Amino acid sequence: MILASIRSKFRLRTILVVPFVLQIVTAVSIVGYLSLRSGQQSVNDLVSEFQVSTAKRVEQNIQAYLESSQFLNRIHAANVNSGDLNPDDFDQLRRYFLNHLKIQNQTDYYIYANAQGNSLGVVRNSPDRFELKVRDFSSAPNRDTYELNQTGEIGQTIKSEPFDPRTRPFYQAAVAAGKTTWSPIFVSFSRKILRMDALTPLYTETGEFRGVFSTEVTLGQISKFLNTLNISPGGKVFILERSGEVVASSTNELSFVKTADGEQRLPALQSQEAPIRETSKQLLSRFQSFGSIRTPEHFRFDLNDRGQLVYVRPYQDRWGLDWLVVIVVPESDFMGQINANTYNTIWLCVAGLGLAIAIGIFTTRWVTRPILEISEASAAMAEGNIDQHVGSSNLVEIDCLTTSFNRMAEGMMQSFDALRHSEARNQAILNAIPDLMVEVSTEGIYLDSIEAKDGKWLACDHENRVGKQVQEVLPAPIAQQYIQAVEQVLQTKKPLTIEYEFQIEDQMQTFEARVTACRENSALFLVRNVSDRKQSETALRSSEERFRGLVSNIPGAIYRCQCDSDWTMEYISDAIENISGYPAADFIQNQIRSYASIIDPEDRDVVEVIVNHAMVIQEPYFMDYRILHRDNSIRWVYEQGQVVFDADENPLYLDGAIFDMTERKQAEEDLRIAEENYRSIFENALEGIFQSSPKERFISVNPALARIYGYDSPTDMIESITNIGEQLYVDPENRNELIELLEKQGKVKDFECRCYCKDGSIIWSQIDTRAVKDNNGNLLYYEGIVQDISDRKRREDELRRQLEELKIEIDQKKREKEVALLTESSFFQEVQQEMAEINLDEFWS
Amino acid sequence: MNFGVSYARNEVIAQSPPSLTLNLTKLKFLNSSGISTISKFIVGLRKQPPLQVVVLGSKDIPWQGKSLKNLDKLLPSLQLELV
Repeated sequence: MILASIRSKFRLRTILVVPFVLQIVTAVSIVGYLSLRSGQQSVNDLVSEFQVSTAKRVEQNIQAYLESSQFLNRIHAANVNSGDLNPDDFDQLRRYFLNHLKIQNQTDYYIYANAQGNSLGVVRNSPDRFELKVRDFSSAPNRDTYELNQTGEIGQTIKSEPFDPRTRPFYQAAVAAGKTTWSPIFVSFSRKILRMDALTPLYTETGEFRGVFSTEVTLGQISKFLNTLNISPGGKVFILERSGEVVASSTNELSFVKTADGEQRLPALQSQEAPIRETSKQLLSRFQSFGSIRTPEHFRFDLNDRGQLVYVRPYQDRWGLDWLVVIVVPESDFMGQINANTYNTIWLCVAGLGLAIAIGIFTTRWVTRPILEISEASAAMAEGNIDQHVGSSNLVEIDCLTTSFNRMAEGMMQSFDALRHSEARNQAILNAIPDLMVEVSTEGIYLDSIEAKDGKWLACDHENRVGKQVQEVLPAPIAQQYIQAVEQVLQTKKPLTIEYEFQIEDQMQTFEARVTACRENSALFLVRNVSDRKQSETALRSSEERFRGLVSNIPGAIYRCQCDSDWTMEYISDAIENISGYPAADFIQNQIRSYASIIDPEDRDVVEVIVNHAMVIQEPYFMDYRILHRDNSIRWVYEQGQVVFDADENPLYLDGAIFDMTERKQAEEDLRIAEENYRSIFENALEGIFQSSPKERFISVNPALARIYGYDSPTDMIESITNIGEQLYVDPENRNELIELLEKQGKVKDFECRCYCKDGSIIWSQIDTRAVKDNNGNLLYYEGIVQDISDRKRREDELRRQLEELKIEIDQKKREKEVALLTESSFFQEVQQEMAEINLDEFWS
Repeated sequence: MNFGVSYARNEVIAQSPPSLTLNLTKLKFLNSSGISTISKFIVGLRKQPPLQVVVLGSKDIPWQGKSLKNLDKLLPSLQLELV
């Protein structure tokens, strides 16, 4: 409970003020209390000492007073014993007593009473008035009272009353004591005083009782003395007999009271003076009886709620007196000042306390105000209101604190700003990330989860994931993969990507998770369904494979290069290795060499000009040029490509293909050479060679043919003859026959006919011709060889020789074969036969 | 075409004129083969004795201004005149 209360919260102001006030209250209270107690103790001690000393003083005075009285009796007795005084001589005794009274003030009354019942007493009523009280044989049984002047002369009788001293207490006391003693205290009826007599008995030589001297002791004298003591305003001194009756007191109260039976002694318990009465009650209650008080005693009691300090001291003398001296002092008499001081102290303390509290509160407020401000500012900050500023303080430490707080607040503001921006950015990033984000601990528990933007493919609801084991959500092998990934990224501190598959709704889906360390014992997974991408990748890969296959199967090198000064190659297919001898990788990004560098220097500029031109006209380019093969041979290539432009018509790439056409070039060259050869043959042949169209016009003729028919040039012949059948053939039927044969056989050999020359002359022509058709069998043209067989017809030998030459020139072997065939043929035999039959003279004519 | 280029070049060599002017001012369009032919013709004149080759082009035909200026790479002494 105490601990609980200690642990409960307090306000700083309370903590500072309450202990402060409590300390002050405690200190003031203790000081006040101790001061009061110490005062009281001092007072008590002082009062005690004072009481003791007072009591002793009283004792000494009483003793001196009472001893004086006894001393007077002893003087009387001594005078009797010495014989100077005969007490029974009443005249002498009268004078003796009077003289004594005159010279001392100790007592006012001497009495002598003898065993015979006679007595003489002299009493001083006033300093110069005396009375004589005598009972002698003459007056007996009365005692006569006379005036007595200072000289001892007896005056008028005042009264005469029966009186026998032997019945009086004093006489009996003396007789009873047998020695000097005191009479009981009694009230003097005549003198209205409380008195006691000092008694000295006289004995005869034989030891018989002779008489007694009595000296009056007025107890009022003791009261007077006590009255003069002036103990304290309320302090009282009184003397009691063991019977409880008052002997004397410092009060003005009489020590006797008037009753119906006359004056009676005053019992202390009936005193009108409360201190005496109440103190006596206390004595009785404390000591059961007055007689049992044997030692000096101090005690305290309350009278009317006021403390009374009592000191009671037994007083005894050698003559049997046994009294109690009681001193009662109200505490207040001495405590008054001290109490006043105590009140002053208390008031001062209260005032000081109030001041201290006020100062404490003020100081506390002064001290705590900035702290409270900081506290309130902190609370405001905690509620999110970060923009806080606390005023400065005059206290160095507090000012330091407020400065630090303000700096901290500013720092926090900046941090919060940065954090807010960072948060906004992070939130934007989070919003932008479409993936499922989960945080997984090393134990494989989902700590947090942010749903994927398209969460349809997820196996588990977002709410159900957090707190679950990975094994509960994912198949065991994948869960194991997850946990291993967490451990790995925590160990290596490097991000990791894992990929896994599992089946969702009958479809195998592929997931990619990027894993990165998050906290000390957890990792963040960004999970993405990459099935589509995988499919795309697969499709792309197969497409690329297809493309590569396609490209690799193309004999030419496919390329794409940038339109920069070096024609940096972005891609070139592997076929370039077959073409140039260098692998394609050498050219990619011009890593080892640029393609331009292997172009034959003689062609390099031309290539550049052509490509630039294509760029200008934005048309494809075609070119053939030479490159230097790795084996230092020169290769001809054919390149075709075009420039790719962007939307602003800036050139981006050159896309194209390069083909090795060395063989074709060689073939072309061979063809060119062959063509030149054939052309030479065509040009230089002695036979006429022609091509003619089905429209009866020549397409081409060689110079020999033109010469055969007498034309200036082949061109002349081609242009001149617009209808072969009509213009050339002497007998157009021959032409028709030839055409029919060609249509039937496709070729006609050794067709002989007569033809017109340009000048109208007629020559024999032997025509070998064939129809040239396209693949569909459509007639394109006719071609053939024409010989002027006029000479042959004239001269067989010459013909044979010409045939020989012709055979050598055109195709030696072929011709030989042909000639052989020709000569062996029946046709040749027929010709021979015919020629043999021809009359040459007729023919030429 | 190569025959043509060779022929033309051979003709020029044969005639060895002091200067040669190619007038292209009417040539509105020239494809890749065309520029190839012209280029090869000009390159063929490199090894010839000093021969002033002038190419006349037209400012009004956009491709000429942009493309013909490259011909001087083939023959530094070539002069291009755009009229």
